[in-house]
Amino acid sequence: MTLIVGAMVVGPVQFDSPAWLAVGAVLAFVSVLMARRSIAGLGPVARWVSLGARTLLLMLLFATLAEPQLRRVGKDVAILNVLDASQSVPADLQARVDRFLERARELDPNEDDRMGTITVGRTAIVQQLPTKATKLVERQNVGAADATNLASGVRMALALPVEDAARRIVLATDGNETEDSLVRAAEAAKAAGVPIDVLPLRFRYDSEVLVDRLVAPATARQGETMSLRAVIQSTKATSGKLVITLNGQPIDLSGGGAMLGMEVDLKPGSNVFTVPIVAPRHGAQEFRAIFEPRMSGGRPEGDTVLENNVASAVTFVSGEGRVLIISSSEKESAELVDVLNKAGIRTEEVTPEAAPRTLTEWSAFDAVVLVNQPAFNFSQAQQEELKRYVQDAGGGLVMTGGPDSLGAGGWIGSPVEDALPVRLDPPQKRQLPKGALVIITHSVEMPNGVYYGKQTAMAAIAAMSRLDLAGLIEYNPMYSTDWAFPLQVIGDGSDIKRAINNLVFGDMPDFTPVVRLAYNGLVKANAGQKHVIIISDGDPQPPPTSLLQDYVNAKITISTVGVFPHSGMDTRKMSDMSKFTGGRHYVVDTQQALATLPQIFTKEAQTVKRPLIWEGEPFSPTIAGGVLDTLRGVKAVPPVHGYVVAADREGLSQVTLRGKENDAIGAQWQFGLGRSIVFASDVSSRWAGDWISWSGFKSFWEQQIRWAMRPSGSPNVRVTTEVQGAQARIFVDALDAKGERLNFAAFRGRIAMPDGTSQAVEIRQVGPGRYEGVVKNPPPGTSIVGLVYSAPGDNGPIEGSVQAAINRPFADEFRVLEDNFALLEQVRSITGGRLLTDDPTKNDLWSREGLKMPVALRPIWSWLALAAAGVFLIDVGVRRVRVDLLALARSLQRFVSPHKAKESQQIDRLQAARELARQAMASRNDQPVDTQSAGVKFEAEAGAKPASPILDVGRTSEEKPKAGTEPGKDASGKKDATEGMSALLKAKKRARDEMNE
Amino acid sequence: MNHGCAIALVLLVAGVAPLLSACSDSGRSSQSVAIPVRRTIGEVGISPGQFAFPRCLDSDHRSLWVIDKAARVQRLDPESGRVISGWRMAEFAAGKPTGLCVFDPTGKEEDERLFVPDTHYHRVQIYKPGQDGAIENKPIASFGAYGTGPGQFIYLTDVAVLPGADGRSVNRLYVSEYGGNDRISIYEPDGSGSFLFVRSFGEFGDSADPKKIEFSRPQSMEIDVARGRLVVTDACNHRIGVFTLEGELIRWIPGASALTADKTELHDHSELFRYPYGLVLLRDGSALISEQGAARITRVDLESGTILERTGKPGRGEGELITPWCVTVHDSDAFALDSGNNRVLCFPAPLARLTNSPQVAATSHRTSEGHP
Repeated sequence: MTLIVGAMVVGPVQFDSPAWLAVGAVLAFVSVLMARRSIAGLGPVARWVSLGARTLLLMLLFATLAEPQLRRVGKDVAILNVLDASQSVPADLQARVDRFLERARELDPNEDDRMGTITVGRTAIVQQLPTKATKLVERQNVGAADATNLASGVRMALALPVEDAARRIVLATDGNETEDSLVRAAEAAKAAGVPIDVLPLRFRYDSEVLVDRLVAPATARQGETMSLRAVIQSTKATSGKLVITLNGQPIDLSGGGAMLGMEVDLKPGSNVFTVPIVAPRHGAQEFRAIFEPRMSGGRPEGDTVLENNVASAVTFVSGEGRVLIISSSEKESAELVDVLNKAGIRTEEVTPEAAPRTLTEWSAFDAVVLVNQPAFNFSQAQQEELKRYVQDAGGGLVMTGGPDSLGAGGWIGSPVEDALPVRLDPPQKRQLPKGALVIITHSVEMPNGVYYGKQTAMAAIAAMSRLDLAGLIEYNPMYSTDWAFPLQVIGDGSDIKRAINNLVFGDMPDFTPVVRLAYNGLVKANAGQKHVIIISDGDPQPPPTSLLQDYVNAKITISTVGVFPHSGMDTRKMSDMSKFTGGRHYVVDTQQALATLPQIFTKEAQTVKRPLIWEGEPFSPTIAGGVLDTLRGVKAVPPVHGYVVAADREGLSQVTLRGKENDAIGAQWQFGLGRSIVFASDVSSRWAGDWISWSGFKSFWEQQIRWAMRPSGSPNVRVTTEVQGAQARIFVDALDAKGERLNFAAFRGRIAMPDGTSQAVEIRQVGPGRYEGVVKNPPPGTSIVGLVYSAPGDNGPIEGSVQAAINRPFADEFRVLEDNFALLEQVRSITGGRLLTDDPTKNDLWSREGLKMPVALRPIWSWLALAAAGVFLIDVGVRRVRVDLLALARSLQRFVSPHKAKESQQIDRLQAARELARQAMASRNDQPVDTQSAGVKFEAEAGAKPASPILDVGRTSEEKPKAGTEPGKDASGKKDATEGMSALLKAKKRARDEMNE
Repeated sequence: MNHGCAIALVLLVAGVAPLLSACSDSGRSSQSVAIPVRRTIGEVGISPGQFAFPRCLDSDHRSLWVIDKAARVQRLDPESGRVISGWRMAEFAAGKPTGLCVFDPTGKEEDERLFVPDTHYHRVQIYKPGQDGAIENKPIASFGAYGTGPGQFIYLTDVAVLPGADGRSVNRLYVSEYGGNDRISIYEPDGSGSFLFVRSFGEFGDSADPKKIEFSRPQSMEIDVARGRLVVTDACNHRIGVFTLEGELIRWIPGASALTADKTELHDHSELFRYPYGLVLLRDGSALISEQGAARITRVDLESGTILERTGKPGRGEGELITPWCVTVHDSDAFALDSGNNRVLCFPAPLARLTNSPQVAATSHRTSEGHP
């Protein structure tokens, strides 16, 4: 018998409320004492049987109350491998771990044991669920490997479903975690009773060089000589080349020599190299320090991990501001550039291909003007960075209209739309032809194919307006071809996005049904532009030409995206469909091209956005709003010949010009730290020919651009940043124009992290002219800090902005030079696990020792209740039923030997008849019957009744009815019964009266 | 019970019954039932005995053969699911095989051959199974190249073997393909272990005209030597073709074109097939078909075109299927390749498999006694 907290185990049965058993035992004892008197009239055997039955009955009843459960203890083991797949673990060690586990699996004698695998990088990913058949270790997509989150792997191992098997975690790692806490996860494993066996992946880089950091000033003035300090750690003396780059271009450090870098000799420990650099042009400047080890026989000398040989830093150089103009053709932007230059604004004109990509690059400019640019000219990442440039770095954004811009340019739903002062969706009340788009998805056989498939569908839908129609068709292996989202108005898009998330990307055999289904939907749709996009690897059967002709007749276009097609035939098949119907065909057959998929879909969605363009009789937009800096001196504006329809945006947006049906043609607003402007007509002769010849053209655009440009900061406001452990500190030293300390300045600050997130930064004054802010856990890379300030001054408020960078070098993953065995030992010790060696034959991975075997409990109270009911009947039977053993034996005999039994039955019958007759005579004479003499005189009458039943239930011999008094037939008997009944009733009434009294 | 109650009850039943019936119709597989599973083989994974979307299944006299999307060829014990041997295709980056034909004319290991239509490499690979437990195997012969000309392939789907008069040798090979080159090509041995192109028949299309043979993805083929027939599943035309061994059409099942104006409505038509992919011939001249698009196994009489039996429904539960690519019969067991669920379902075979070799036929006859 065992006691588990609050429960008691007796053999295979566990009682969750064992107190009831004690109560039952006491009551059983009392019952025995009481029963001795009440069952005294029974025979000795019946008495003991009754006593036993009663005791058993009570025990069963109370055992039922004690919540009995049948215990089944598991015998199998489930090993959950948590494998460190981060980049800090050398690849050969990872391969050795797999071989170790596969060999250990071979040595397992129990076929019912299970094995599952989880890999750990930045996140934990289940590679194999624990199953009996798993023999090999699987590592497919391990996700980002530039960090190690061992705790997430252990927690996932604890959460995986394992039935009827004891769980053991095998943790194979170097112990160098960069995120979360393995010790805390080990505590959770201990609480769950799961031991963690550790397989330490021991290594030590004896020859390693890492560029610890590159220190550069956060801000500098143009032309100022500043010092860059590269801190390089080395485990031993070695030499190599140090290269410093500025915005990706190497700086000549050799003093005019043949090579650009400089030869450096490293001593063991820390090495600091200082390089003087003249602060170049205005804006954010990114420096990189790269150490190139000397190569010997194709291998680096004195270095092992090359990923940690780079560190970067950003310096913001103050100077005269510039405006970046992005235009696909010079003709389109020539007039604008001309008037801005005449106004003294420095501009730099580039095509979209040469546009900045990172926040640092965008931040080099005080404003960016997009001249008739469609969204697909910019990658998703570029758009995100452009938005952050306005919101977090305080940059200015101006978007001018044109047939490829604003809503017609696929910007609806893009990150950039968030930064614009108008909504690109047309107003609800506006009656515009709708667009209708059907997306057909097919199996995407590539890594993360489903992810990319969903992302692209999302991008396409996001680029549509809420009034447009969209539908999704898929080949679902469960239900075959069908609408995953029937063609309907998109609305807020939540329903269709949910449908996209549920897409299954089945492997359809034939294009015909899906293309036919899309046709049936589109042909009935009330829309101006109708379009189909098919994403597929191209191996389904092509649709018949007659069906494609139906598309042509209905003016429905099909664009196809061939994702990793199996052959040229697949490409041709899809390309033919597009060509026939007037759509486009794209081939995506590299991982790099894969990233452009969302752009392709955005471009395709744009096909149905043409109705957003208004073109017609020229008219002059009306000036809206009050007195604004952007419209100073402008009383009226010339007519426009066209514009892209957009809607007002709620909030602080200010509409400056209005067009047909009150459409917003010009608007402006503050977004985060920056400002943005939209002009929905264009800046060329296409729609704004009258503007170019307008005398106010120059002042109009000068005012627009100057309002949007980031305010230049005072060179007397200097920002420095410092990374201290897990946090970064921002220091601001502010002086006014006279060189006096600037006090009581109000700062608004935001930090844009390299991982795409951003957050507000609080800057507080900590001393005269001294301000400070703290950023916790900035991720590795360069974070851009944007600050806008306002302080009281003698001649009105002093306002300005300033930027700085926080530099954290490469991920911590590459900083480690040896394993962290101490942590593994601690984890093993906490959970009671074992330290494994790399020889599987010396480690019994499958040992049951120290494991908490699982117990399956099954309630059995119903069985016990049933048994109690049976025992109760036995108890009643023993006390109330008397068994005539002789008659029982005779019955048995009749059963065994029917012939003899028959004879015996006849004799019995005769004897019974004689007995009846004798009793009848005795009754008539009302005298005692002399059975002996009667037996001599009596002759049985014909038709005498058979014998009475062999069991006389519930009566003793004294209680037997007298002979001849057959109930219901004898008048005197009836009278007796009536009298007896009335006597009973009287007694009952008397008893009730007594009770009442 | 009074009359009012009785009438109400009758009305209730009358009202609810059609409603329930309508509900079951909307489930897209009216009257579908789960397969009466005897046992299940395999699960998802890459270890031996596990599958990563298996697409090819066939059987010989003592084992099952499965090829999955991890390009692994696995030989399995049909009783236990234990792996007897297996190997990985030498090349698979461009794609994995979508068909398999086991030629086991005598039941003897030395006579057995595996014909693997290496779909995305545009060739037929011929293997000799070799010793049990083998984990490496190289093809003993290979033929075919990319193209649409004679002797060239786009995407191969299956191989069917016509045995020679001796019952052991290969008299002819039939190779089916799709991808715009939808046809069946006939090959004959060249004497050196490989095969020579003889001719081909059929082209891409959906015609039901007997003089114009058109296919849309002929996915599986089987040969009935005794009746002199080649049976083909014309998957994307949703029909079965019965041909002479010379490629002359005897009949399409269903008889009229399976294609309606709108292919999307096919799945509601109980007499039609929906993407018939897998095929195995039974002794009485009927065939078991795995319908990839309808998640069911159908037995059809190839003479009358009558649907004799139908079982299976879409799902992930016991006896349910997702995109069953193949079906085969071994002894008294039928096996459905439940590709979408990464498993093989074993259920009672209605009849023994048709065998084209006299030696094996005799053996099979003994083992099939007692079949329903």
